[in-house]
Amino acid sequence: MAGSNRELSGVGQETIKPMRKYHQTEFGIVAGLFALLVFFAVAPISAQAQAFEEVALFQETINADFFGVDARAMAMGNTGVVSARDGSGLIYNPANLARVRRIEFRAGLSHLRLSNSTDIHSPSLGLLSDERDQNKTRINALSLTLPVPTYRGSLVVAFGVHRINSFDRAFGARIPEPEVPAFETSRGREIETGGLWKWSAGGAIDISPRLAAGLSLNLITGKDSYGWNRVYANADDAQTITLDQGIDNDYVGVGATAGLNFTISPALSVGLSMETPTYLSADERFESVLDTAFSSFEWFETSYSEYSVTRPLSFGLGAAGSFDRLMLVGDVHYTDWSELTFDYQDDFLPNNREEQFIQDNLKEAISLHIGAEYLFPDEGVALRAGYFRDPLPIDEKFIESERQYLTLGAGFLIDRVMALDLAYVHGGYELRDAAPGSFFADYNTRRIFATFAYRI
Amino acid sequence: MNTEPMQTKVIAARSSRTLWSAPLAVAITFLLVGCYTILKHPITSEENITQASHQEYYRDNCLDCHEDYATYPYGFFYGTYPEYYFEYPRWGHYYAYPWWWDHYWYDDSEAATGDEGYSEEVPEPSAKASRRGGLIPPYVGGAPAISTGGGSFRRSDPNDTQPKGGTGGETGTASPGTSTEKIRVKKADQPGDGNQSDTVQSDTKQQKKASRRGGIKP
Repeated sequence: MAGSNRELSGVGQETIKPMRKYHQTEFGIVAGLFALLVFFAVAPISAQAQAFEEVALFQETINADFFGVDARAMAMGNTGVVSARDGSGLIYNPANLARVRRIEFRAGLSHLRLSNSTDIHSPSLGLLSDERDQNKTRINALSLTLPVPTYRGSLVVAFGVHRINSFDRAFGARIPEPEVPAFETSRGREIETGGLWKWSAGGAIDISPRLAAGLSLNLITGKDSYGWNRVYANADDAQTITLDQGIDNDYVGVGATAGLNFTISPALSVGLSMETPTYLSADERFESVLDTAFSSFEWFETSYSEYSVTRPLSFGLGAAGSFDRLMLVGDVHYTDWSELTFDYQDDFLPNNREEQFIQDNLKEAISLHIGAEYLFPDEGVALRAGYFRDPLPIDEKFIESERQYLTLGAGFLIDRVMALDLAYVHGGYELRDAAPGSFFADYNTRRIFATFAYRI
Repeated sequence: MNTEPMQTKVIAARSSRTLWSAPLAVAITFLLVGCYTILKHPITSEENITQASHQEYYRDNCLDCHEDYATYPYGFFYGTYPEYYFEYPRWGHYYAYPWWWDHYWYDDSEAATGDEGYSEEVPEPSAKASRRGGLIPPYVGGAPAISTGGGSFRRSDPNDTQPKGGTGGETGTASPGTSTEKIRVKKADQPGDGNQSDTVQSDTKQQKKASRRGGIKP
């Protein structure tokens, strides 16, 4: 099925790319001798893709979740609209930058351990299970924050680059093939790497004794490399058919984030952030190779596609209460994903199907984040914990369990110039197909963050 | 020819531009108005014009006019400074002490506060351990501006920016009488005499120097 190469779980990307259409630049069919074989090889793929197509399409929206760029924020339930007080304010709420009083250099690492288990219930074969996992360690934050000397109030500028979305993902499944007599099942493996980086320049200013405003302008770049391998083999492996597909994307985009931070009292602060619609342009290349063990021929196809997506407005509201050494913080984020827009950069390619999909299946999402921090100032240690529920912006009929995470962490103030924050985030979600009982894909993630900051 | 899709795209593009321009306009307005944050001290007419034209003069003589400035150990800033910032100054140094109050190697070593610009975390059994002076701003000249009152350090009225005696509030201040006395001495030395001005600077340095040794108590 042209363009529907993400068969079961689809590909995690920053946004939806359903039923992609391609300019066919090269298509080679080496011989017609194996036309029948090709039919057997491709037809079941299409049929299976039909069965789980919805889930595949959703996956691209699902991975649009914010990965996390700061260990302190992640340890407190991924909160930061009001509590971020370092260079991470560029991402969470630029107004918070006004609270930085010293020149700061900050860097962060993230480690992802993703495991996937997939169950497919076949009427004839029973339960078919498979598992996949992937580990990735990456640099995910660099920032420089420069407070400007003031006589009163605060003026701070900052520059940074943060890895806001991760496409790192793995998926595996044993797929029943009732329509292909020669093969009972096939095995599908999916591996994907990449992410989106946000290059930010921002600033914040105190506009009253208690109110700060901030703005960051963002350039977004990124890559996504996706591979799908599907193997059909009979019992003695004599007749093996292998399908390898790959999709590579390059992204460029722009956006902005604005925010306010209001100190109601020394014990209570609130924050508001708004991320403007983010425009992303994608350049996509597709390759597909079909090979057989019992012939010297292979079939291949390459194509490309250019399109743009515009993520909708996103709002964040946060509040933090400080009670001596204890801080309690909560954030709420709202995004209406049904406002997402998709457009091929070719007038000859209509967007009807994508737009229909968005209207029918995407919905608004409200994520809730809570966290706490308790300090032991004499030891220079802070302990943190949190929880956040980040609902998938898709129809409930595809969700077996919602996306939610528990978080823990600690921070260390070393001497008086350096801070080291650590966070552990554990959670995940489970998808199913629209007809409950036949397909379940569970994604379990464990993330470790380490952020280091040095203040001159 | 059906023009609806084209019109829809145009409208969408306009909406997008509107959404972009709104926060930008707000931000630019804030920057232009600059209603609260002050980067450069205004020239005050009642003082020596030559001195007053230099920003350094104001930095060194804050208390001449802003007698309550000593109540803001982390600057003229309405912040939520928890008590442990003062009990354990490294927290305050990291999160709240402005970098431009530090003096670095290229500054006059006499005036440098650098590492000594705040009290070290050395236990003082005879004093209230919870109040070791916190971070002493360079303009206070060693006055531990904090009383032993509980709660966070803050202004009593954040909207009241008029110079006044440094009293009360919820958190207490340096002794207002002493602060005023210091100012009067400086003012008497200043008028129209460059040498006297040098004396003033020298006094200031001595105060700072003394503050590093434990501070000249008001």
